[in-house]
Amino acid sequence: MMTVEFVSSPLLPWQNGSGDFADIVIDSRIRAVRNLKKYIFPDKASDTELAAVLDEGKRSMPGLNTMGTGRYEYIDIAALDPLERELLASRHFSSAAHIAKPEQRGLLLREDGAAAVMINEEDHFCIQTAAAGLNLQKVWEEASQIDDTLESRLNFAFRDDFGYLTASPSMTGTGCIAGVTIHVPALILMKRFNRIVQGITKFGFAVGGIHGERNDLSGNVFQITNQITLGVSESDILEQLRKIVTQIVQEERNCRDVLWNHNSHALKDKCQRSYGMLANAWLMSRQEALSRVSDLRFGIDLGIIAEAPLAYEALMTAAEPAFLQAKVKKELPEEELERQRAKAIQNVLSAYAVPVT
Amino acid sequence: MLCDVCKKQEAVVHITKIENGQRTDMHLCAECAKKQSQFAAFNDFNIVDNDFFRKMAYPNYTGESADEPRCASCGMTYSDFNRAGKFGCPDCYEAFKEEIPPLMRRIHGHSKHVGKVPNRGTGVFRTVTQIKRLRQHLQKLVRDERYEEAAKVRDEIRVLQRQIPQQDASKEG
Repeated sequence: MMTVEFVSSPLLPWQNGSGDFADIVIDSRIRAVRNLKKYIFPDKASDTELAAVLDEGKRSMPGLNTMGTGRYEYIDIAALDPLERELLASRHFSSAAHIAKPEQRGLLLREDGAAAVMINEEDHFCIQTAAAGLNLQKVWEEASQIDDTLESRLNFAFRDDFGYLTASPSMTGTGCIAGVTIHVPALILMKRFNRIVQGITKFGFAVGGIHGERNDLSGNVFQITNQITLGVSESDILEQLRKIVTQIVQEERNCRDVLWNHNSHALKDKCQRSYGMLANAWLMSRQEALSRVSDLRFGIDLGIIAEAPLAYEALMTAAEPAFLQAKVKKELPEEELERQRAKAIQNVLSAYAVPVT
Repeated sequence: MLCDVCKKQEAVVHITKIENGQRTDMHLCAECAKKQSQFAAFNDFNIVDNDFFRKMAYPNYTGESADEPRCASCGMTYSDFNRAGKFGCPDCYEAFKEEIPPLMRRIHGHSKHVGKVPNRGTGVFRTVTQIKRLRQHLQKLVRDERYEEAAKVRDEIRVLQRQIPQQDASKEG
């Protein structure tokens, strides 16, 4: 049984609505993978080899705890029930690949949920950090410090020519993927986003959905990540990503202004109608929830709906099947899931006491 | 009807092709039909196989050869890697070091790392490079019969060598 409580609460401790461009940028994340010299990569490794890596990870805990950034808890993936594993993956602490074969898989999770180390996913160690808003420098520095701490007692596979050696050649070099999650309803509404995506791709960055599947684009929310890890330094990647996001934020704001100036009645109606649905529907599908929650957030950003923007992140969590099923501790058929989702959403809304202006 | 190609045998295979609204008819005997690669098209339906990665990365790669590199640590051959799209262990990078740079250039547009280096690692790399440089200098001094200076350099090398952990010294030279 998991002892870390925040994993099953709708809002994580670090999701505090801070950070640059918090009206559009949801969060910034880093994934940095590292492997031990002389050890077979997890996909090919025997149980004994996996256990040895897992043990090295566990023994790094005291070092991580003395960093002064918060205490870590070790979570044995095999000891969890399947619903708890799904929940960890859905909240981005773990991943589908990590929980697919739970034996000899572990997770070091920091008490604020803003840092975690997956052990024996595709690579031996996957350092993950997250922060609210556009805050790439902070997430990279945190990931790099965790890396330094792990490296102080572990011998990481590294070569002068290819950099950090990873299981997948698409990660070789820095082993580092930076991602920024953005909510861009106006660009989507004005059909401007596709053009931006094409531009981003040319610079070696990719745009995808945030819910595991890369082509799941519900809710007008996307993650922009770097595709290139070799031949570019971490700081170059971060700087380029920051520039791209800043540009998108500018264009999204322009589109919001245009929409507002041309038809504020339609915009108000769209946002408040969705708010009404969220607050009163008896059944709510995930697809509808994500799109209504996007409208609600849009309404908050535009000042139509006076509410703590934090409700957005909490509502996004409440839409996820893994969250709903872990809460009732059983797998639910689709209709029951929709009922639970409607309830969970209404709980969040009443917790934030959303008034309409 | 005689075969369109050899014009000798009776045609038994009749193919009608419509391309851009243009209709062409072909009548072939069994032998010529086999030779014609018209039917090869059917074999192409097998495109969703495990070689997808290999086909993308190495369109001209023709197959395994007996002397292809194999990683001594995990036993993976380069063909295995191409099928899986993933390395088996860190030592694969040494075993396939000739094949990797072109692959990396296709994926990343580069083949040389420029980002962060491990703290522990940099020390070792720096020391190894320094030793190499000093050895060259030592040879030159010996050639020039400057033995006193050579002895000093030799001692310097010994000190540096002691700083390198044993297992790293052999690999990263």
